[in-house]
Amino acid sequence: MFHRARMQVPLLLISCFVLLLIGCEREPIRIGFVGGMSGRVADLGVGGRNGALLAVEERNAHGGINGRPVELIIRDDEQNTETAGKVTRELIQQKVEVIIGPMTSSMALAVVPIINKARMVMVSPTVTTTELSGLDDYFLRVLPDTSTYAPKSAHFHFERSGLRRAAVIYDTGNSSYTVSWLTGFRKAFERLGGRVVTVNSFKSGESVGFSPIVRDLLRHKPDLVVLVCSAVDASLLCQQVRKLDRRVTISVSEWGSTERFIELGGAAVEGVFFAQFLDHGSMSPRYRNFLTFYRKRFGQDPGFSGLAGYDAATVVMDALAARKKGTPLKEAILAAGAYEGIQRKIVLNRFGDTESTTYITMVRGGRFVTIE
Amino acid sequence: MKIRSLRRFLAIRSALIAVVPFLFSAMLGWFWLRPQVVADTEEHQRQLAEVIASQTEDYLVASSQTIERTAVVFSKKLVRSDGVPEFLDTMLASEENLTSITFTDAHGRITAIALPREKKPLRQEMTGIDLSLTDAVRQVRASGKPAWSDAYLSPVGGALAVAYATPAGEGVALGEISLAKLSSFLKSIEPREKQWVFILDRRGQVIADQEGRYTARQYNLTNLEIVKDGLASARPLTRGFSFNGKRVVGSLIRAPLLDWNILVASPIEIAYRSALTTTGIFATALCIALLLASGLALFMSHSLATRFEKLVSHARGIESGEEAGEWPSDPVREFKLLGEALQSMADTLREREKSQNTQVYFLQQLMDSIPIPVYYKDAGGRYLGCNGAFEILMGMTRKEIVGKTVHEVASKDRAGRHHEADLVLIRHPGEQTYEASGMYGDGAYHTVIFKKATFFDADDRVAGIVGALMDITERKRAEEKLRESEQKFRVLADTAPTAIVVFQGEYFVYVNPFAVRLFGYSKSELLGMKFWEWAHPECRGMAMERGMARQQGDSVPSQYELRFVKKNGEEGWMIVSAGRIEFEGRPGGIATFVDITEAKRAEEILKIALAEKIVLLKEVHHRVKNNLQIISSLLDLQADSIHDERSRSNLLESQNRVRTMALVHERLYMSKDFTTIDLGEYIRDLAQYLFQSYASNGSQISLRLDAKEMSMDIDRAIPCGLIINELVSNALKHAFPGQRHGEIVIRCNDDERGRITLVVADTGVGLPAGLDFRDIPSMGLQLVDLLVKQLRGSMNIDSRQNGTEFLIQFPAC
Repeated sequence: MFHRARMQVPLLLISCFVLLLIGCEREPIRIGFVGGMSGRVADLGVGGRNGALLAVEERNAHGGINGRPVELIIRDDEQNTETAGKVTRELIQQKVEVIIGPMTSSMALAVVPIINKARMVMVSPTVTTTELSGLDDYFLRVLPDTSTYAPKSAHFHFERSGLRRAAVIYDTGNSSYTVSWLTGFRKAFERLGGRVVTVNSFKSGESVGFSPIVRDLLRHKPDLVVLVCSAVDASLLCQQVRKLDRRVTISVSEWGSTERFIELGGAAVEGVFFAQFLDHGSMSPRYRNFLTFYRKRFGQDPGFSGLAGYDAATVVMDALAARKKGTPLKEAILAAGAYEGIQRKIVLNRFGDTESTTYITMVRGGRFVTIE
Repeated sequence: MKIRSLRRFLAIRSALIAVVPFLFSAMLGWFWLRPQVVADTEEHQRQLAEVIASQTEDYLVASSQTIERTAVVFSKKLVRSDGVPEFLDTMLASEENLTSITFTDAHGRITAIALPREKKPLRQEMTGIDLSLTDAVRQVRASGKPAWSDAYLSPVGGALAVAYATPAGEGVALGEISLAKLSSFLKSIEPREKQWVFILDRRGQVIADQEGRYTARQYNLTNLEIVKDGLASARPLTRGFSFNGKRVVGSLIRAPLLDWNILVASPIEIAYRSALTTTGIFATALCIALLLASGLALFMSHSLATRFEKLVSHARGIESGEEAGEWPSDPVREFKLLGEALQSMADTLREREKSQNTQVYFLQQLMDSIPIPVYYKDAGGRYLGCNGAFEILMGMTRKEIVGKTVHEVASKDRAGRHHEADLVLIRHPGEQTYEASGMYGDGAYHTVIFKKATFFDADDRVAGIVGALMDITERKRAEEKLRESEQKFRVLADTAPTAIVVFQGEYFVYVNPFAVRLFGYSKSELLGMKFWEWAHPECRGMAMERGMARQQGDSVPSQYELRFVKKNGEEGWMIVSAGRIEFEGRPGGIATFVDITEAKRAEEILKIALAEKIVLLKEVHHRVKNNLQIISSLLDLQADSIHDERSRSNLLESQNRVRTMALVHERLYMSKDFTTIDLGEYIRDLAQYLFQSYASNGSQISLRLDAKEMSMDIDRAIPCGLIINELVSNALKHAFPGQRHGEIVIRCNDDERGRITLVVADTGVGLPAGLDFRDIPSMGLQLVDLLVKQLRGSMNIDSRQNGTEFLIQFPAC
């Protein structure tokens, strides 16, 4: 009997210990991610997802948020508004704490009513449409809207390069962004005295032929070609432009400033200008470390989308960590003031918008180089 | 110890017999079979990965060969330049996996391209596009060798693709394969249901998966350790890991021709399905065996238990004294033997019980004869027995006491205390003594000393407690009285105007305040002193010897004077009165000291004064005697000058009278106290003197003296002497006229009434007849008469012819 009791005690202890361990496994904090990760604009979504994923993996490696691990639930909106709405609803049903994304403005305009209705906070890494600026809603973002980049580009080319005739090609597949950008550029360029001589558009797809569009564009003898589209389309357009005109200045909106642009554009993208928030020449340790870790993890450079994805995830997780019990997340995010981004302090105003320095970048020697 | 039934005991043991092999089998399976199964599964996974790698390479090698052949044709310009597009279209059509075939110049620009039918309109647009920075072209241009690219977004196809690139002349020949197609191929060779299969490029990005989902979304799987390690090393890897929230076992193997990695990952439950199935069958069989064994064991337990119960029932019958009859017979030899053995044991036990009962009776009698209450109880506090004295004390019979606890036989407060004491004694075996008091069962209030001790069983464990009660009620009362007495003594002693001390052994144990004042020492000093240390050095020995002897009960004077020395060195005298005393329960000595220093001093002064007085008195008497002797001598001289006989006789009489008085004073200053003289001696001296004085006829007259020694003071001695003087002188002068012989008798004695009788008689002629001495003019007899009166005495005269007798009686004082 005594021996049996002696055996029972360790068994009981082991059972208690196992139950304790089971009890100690804490429920993860679920964060959703929505972005276009397939198709021609996938580089933006993939970069944003990779950046957010890296931030989450690093946070979990350091103990998660208040001891709880973070789980990133990733959904592909396929750059399709219906899919974007569907996956956003899915994430809301899964009771995620917050959604990071989407990566393009069109998708953002499609899902914002849904998240506002569900009071689900959404923090976008790269959406820059002005249509969502100054709204007290549940949509927040870590990049300023196009009213910052487009005028900057216009000013640079008019004042520094002395260009007066701009021809624009934009993608109607993400018109919320491209039209917003175009409007900002046109307004600034024309106010300065320049002229937008022609505006051509296309809808991104595998069978699109760019040479007729480019040929038509160049017919107006522009001294500046402005491309408002994704990196894939922008690089192919550049290839077509350069086939016909080797001297015309090309400027691309920040959407196209991913690493794929240079890879696909080859020599044709040399000398192309961008107005963007990313300072490629930054030597800050934080940025350099980020580059190192990102390359190690994904085998490629992050680009602006990877960095923005990382920053958006950082803002979300810092706010979740600092949030007091019972405080709505939106209030917690906005109350925190400044967040430490990779290259800058991210300060959100009461509408969840932010401001940033805009850099003029050009491709030189197969690399992005910040020139202003 | 918990008692369990035989059935349960046997059931548990039998179950253990079944369970232990079961557990052993399980452990064997876990530690031996499981690693084997794991190894087999991993091997299966690895082989599967190798097969898939091989199939993928087979699938792609045709495409690469097509590109190689095209490159050769193109570089050797075997086709005319205007026929190149057609040639390329033919080659593209011949290899369905390829989505495009492209040739570049030395700068990486497209010089010729073949596209699928639907994209043919773009051929012109694509021509001239710079592919120099695409992964495939860059590798070949860098190495000069053919290579499969990593996944990339094709500027040609506009979708994710991989490409086989090979040098072609100065340029590069490039054949793209859609990743979607590759994924379809993968799905065709390994459906998703069983496991995941991934083809990963050199960066860990998914080139193909069965669903195409990870491919389309450009997932990079370097977050998996197996992928990270696999990219760093060409060795095949197999291990378990988590994927999409599931535990999987996966193998990663590198496809050598492609330089890609193939990852095959199966959920644990699928990977180990066969092993789990086998284990399940094995476990089920074991469980059934376990159940059968347990059932059989239960049946056997029941059978055995029934037989034992019969034996137990019979044993109970014997135990209760019933005539149980024969032991139940059993066909099983062992049970039969057990029954016989039990019968034998029962007989032996009866005999032993009888013997023990006798012994128990004796012991009980012995206990009952003990005049003090005795009981004994078990370790649980239940009374096992007691003696008669205990019954009387408790007011209960033995039957009422035995089997009960102290809580059931004693009042609540007493029971609690005894129980606590019992617990302490059980915890610390040995002996225990304590005092308790209260109202006992006999209705009287008792103060009792409990003396308890533990007793032990054969295993030397505490079996119980035996206790004896000693009634000390009377002793307590005596002690109380003694305490009261001591208290009174202290009050009395503390306030007494006499020094009182108590000593035990060599030391004082009590000194009263007066003793402190007497000796000048503080109380604490005195209590630290030996009881003889205050005595004068000359007396210390005596004080110590008497004090010690007194304590030992020896007979020593109880009162004596002693010299002592105060703390300040002053010496004094005291009267010590000592005796024995019982003080605070111990024998000792008590002494009172009366300071007689002042009285002693007064006595000394008195003695000196007395001595001085004695000297003075002696001197006075001496001087009076001398003066009287001078007077006598003067009278004698005077008589010598007087010739008249009568006058001379008168002077002589006066001289004798003076001499008589001088003799008294002489006797007085020679006496001890100067107040009294021995009358007998005085009479003798006086008579001799008178005879010498009237010596003329002294030889004819004899003196017979019968005077008893007796003291007499001067006031009486002088009259008495004068009386004797007058009467003896008268007799000497007148009683024996002529030469008449005769005798003078003087007798003097006293009687018990204190009267002194003085007889002066002679055998002379007697007094003249009719003579009344009160009327005669003789001064001598008148004087006698006066002196008798002075002595408040009486005088009778018996005068006959043959003599005269004067009988004088007077009080002695």
